[in-house]
Amino acid sequence: MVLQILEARRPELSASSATAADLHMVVDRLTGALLEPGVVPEPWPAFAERLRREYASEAQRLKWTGSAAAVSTALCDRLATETALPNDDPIQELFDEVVKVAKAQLATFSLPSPSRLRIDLKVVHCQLSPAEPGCPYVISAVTTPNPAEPLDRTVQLSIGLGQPGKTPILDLDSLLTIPYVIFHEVLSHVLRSPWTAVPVEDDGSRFQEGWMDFMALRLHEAYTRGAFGSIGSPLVRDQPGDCRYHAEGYSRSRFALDNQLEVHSQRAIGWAAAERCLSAIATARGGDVADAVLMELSLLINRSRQATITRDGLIGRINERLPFLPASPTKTEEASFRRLLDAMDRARLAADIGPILGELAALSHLTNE
Amino acid sequence: MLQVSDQQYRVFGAMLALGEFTVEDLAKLSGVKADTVRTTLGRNKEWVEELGKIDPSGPGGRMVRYRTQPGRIHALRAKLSDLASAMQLEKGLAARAAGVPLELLAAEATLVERLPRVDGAERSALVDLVRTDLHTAQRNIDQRLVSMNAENVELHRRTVESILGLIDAQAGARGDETRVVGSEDVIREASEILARWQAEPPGSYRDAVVRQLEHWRAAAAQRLREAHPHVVVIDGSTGAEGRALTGLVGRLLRIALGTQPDAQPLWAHAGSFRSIDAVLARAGDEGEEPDVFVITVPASRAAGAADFVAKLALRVPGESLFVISDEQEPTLLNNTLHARGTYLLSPGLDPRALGVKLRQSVEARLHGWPTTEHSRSTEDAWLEGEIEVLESDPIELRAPPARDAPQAG
Repeated sequence: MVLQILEARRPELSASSATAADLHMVVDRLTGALLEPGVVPEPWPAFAERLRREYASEAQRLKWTGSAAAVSTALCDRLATETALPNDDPIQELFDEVVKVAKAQLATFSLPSPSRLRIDLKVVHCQLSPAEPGCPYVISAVTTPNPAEPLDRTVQLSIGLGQPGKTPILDLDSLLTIPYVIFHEVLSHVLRSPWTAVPVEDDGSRFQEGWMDFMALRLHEAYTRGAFGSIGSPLVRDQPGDCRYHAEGYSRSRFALDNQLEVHSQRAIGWAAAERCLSAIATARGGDVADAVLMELSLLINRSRQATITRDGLIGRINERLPFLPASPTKTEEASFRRLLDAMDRARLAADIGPILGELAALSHLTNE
Repeated sequence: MLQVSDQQYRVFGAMLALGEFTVEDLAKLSGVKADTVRTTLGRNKEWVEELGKIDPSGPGGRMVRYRTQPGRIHALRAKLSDLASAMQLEKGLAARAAGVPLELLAAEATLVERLPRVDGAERSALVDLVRTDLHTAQRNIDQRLVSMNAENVELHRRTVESILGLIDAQAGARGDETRVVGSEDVIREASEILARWQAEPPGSYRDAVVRQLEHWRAAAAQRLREAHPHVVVIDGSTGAEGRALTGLVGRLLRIALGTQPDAQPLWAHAGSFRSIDAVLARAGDEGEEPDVFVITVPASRAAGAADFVAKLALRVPGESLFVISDEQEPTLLNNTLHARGTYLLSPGLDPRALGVKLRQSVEARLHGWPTTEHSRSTEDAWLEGEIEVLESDPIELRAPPARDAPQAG
């Protein structure tokens, strides 16, 4: 969070050219010093306290040594005040908020998650970027079940800091992606059936990593726009637009085809199918309800007993049967499309995806007619 | 192809993220110069609407505030997808993926990366998924729903079709035998595609494609060998009627097993039953152990044949032995019961049914006991397919002359 504060100050400070250079130097020095490997990871309260001490110390040093004469005492004091960090772990706070939003979605559609489902967060720091090649951000996460307790899930959030003696790699842009990364993890991998102690491999799944990632992004967007009430996390509250921008960038990097073609093409196809579905529902039912309809459908599939391959097969069928409707669809196209939407409705009402699978299998190809 | 830049993509992304914005907001979030943002907005007025002008607290004068057209959010998102795709083209993925429908790439990736890690029902489901993707890709190509690079599309389409063809040919070992027909062409096609991939620059994905093509090609080739078994026909006749029988069996085998006359070894060993070693040695001269022995025996030599079969049974698996008599003499059936496999042909078969039964028996020996339903369907299918051939070129059965005097085997 201190990094966020520091980075956020840059534009403001740069307004005063006399102090800009020195203050940027402060930011850089602090960033480097605070992230020095060997002292992390450590629990949040201790980490926060150390940050605060370092930050206050640097501000005082700057003030007393006069190395930056143009820096006003008031400004230094204000910087020091801002270091009065809460003892609560902001990432844990954010995580709890995201889980709450996601669970509320399930409850909205009467699709409760298992009552004993326990979701923990574990934050680890690493020297290298934990993200996939091609991803410009240094944040990643993975969800693992507890072998002893099938309903327990741990989301491990990895934050890349950088190597000793080298320029830190953690940047504000990356910090801003944390909400999205958590949304993705919770929606795609925590609230998915089966809840067993055996890890499920989702990596190449077009539904889990593509379709549900799209839904995570949508939910993240709604959350950052305040659709679920006031936002508790200062990271999101202060810079919601930036969070959305970098979330979009992160999501797209996960299926950029110039990298890891085998996995990314699966993700891309799932993402595109969800986007197509949303557009189709918006066309037929109106944009105001499209998100809710698709979210309910997605959560329904995600917590169904259908195997991953069946879910992925569903994506293939949707892509096959549901191309973007032309501006002036034929009557047959429209009729077929409405049948599919009706099947989605039946599935939602029955909380069973069977009708969709059946309708997709029965529908003749829209574009072949 | 869309001519876009990374900057345009970032501006559009910022528009989507912010909803309402000024040029300066977009410039700050996207990291793109304000002039470039203005140019982008000016060229894409249909995406935004002006909300009015505001007075910033700092210098810079009044600024125009915009918002993304509320009804065009989805379209803007779709445009971003297009831009992203176009940017990927410019970056030149593995240049080979450029201008190729996504479904085609996903289908190929499924075959190359995911399929090898699963088996059973999941494997079948994945193959179905690939077929669906291929169909969707073809539709998109036909309807020109995607901008294409014809050369790249052809490579990936042929790769997917080739691997699917090889899988089909290999799957014939457990399912539809008719898929074996044409396997030579599938394997030849796969070899061509394999050569093209081998000429591509090295890379982990290329290596995976090559590995899978090689794997499935070998599996299909193996299946092809099994489907056209190495058959040795031992002609136990000494007279014209025996030769006619052997000729009939050979002909039926060729038709029933789908072999071309010169494509597979189908040997006839005429003469004495005495030297089993010589028969085996000759049968193995080609360097490959025979899969099936078929012994044609005129009823007149049943006793000697029975003795020969009993001795041969000690040297080769019982399931590999087929004993065919011109009349399926009950004595022969009885005498060879202990030695032969369970597939000895039934008495009273007409020539056409003989071929079908022989094929079923060979298949059964190779792949397991056929169910009644399987046998019936196979027979029906074979009869339907081959009856015209037989009718246009009937098998002649010459009336046997007077029986030779019984001979010792």
